[in-house]
Amino acid sequence: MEEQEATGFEIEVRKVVGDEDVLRFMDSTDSYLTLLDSLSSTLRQGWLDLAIARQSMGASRINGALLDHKVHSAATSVQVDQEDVDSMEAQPRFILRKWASVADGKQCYEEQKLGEDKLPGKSGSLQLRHRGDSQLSEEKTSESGAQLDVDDQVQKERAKLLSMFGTLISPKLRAAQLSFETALETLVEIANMRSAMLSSYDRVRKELDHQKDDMVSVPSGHTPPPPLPRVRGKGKQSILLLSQPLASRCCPLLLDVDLACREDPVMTTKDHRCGSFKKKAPKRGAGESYWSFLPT
Amino acid sequence: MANRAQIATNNSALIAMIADEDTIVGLLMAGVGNVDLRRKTNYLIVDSKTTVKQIEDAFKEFTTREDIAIVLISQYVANMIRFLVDSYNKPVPAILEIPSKDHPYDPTQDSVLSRVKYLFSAESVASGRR
Repeated sequence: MEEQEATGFEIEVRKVVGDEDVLRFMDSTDSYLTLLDSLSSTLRQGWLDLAIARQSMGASRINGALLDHKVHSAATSVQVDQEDVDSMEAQPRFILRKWASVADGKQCYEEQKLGEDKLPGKSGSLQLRHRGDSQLSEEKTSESGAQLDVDDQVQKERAKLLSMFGTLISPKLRAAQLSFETALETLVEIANMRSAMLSSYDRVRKELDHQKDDMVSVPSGHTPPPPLPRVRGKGKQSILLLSQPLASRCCPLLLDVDLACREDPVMTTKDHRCGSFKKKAPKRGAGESYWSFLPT
Repeated sequence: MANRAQIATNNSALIAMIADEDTIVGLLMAGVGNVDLRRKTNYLIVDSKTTVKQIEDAFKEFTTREDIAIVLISQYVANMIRFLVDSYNKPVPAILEIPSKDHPYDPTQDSVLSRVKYLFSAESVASGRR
């Protein structure tokens, strides 16, 4: 009878690590690396434009000594929001605020979309012309007018920043400015990816640590593990490890316990997984024993 | 948007930089330069004359200032103060290692990636997930 009890013994594996956390972590790591790659190429373009401008204007006209050391505030800054993810840990989120000095009240001119980009030749009205819907374009006229105003102001801001290099500047310097603006947008995205990656990493790590603590727990409705040593005779017993629904892809493990080693039973598995099965001191009250499965 | 609680300041925060001259000049053209009333800048230009002590001081200053949200540091400069960069683990300000003109970006040296490398190790994942 006891043999049968032991045969049908079911252990529930506490599968704590959610697949979605791992996937989120992998996704954010991938995006982080991809964004850094695009940052590298954007910066390379910026450096190249800067070097061409320096070549045409002269090294003395473009260098660090000309930088503005008067008191001034940054025209472009970031806003930090803290996002609560599952209330486990805070994940900061960065929003780029471009040309913040342009933004006065309702004209909150910012955000990364704007930089994609609004080259001097492209304006809102040009885009509208291609739309072909006259009613729509009428509705949008006022909007595009406002947009043009903002564009003008942005152009002024850009020109103001370039004025430290003189009034007559190389067009390549303007191109370099745009490249570095794009790089800045990518950098803010990278910062967001970084915080997403670190927060998902912390979550996965925490759960893995927790999982190692009590890998296998015995549900109270079932016969606790002690029957195992009490089983008479030698032979193999099967133990079914059931995973929690969280781990949808984790199939139940059918493990064979060699009953010859009763004090410290060693498990061999029918599939590729194997490990040892060790008894732990009861933690959560009398009548319940815990066994930890230590994979090798 | 609904579940997002704004804890940090609503005010804009700065982007600080420790990098080579061209990178700093380029980013300043993009409008991130700031000089406060004490004439303190939010950037440090690293050249051949810059000492490691100066870089360390600038890094410590930028990571402790409350008005800075992101610190950009060229990877080759970060390598000079690797012990400081690796030991930094706060979410804000975020430290981003960026490539520089003469030194391309190397993911194996990135402090963030080396921190999360734990999960890419086959043994740790195997022992954790089974």
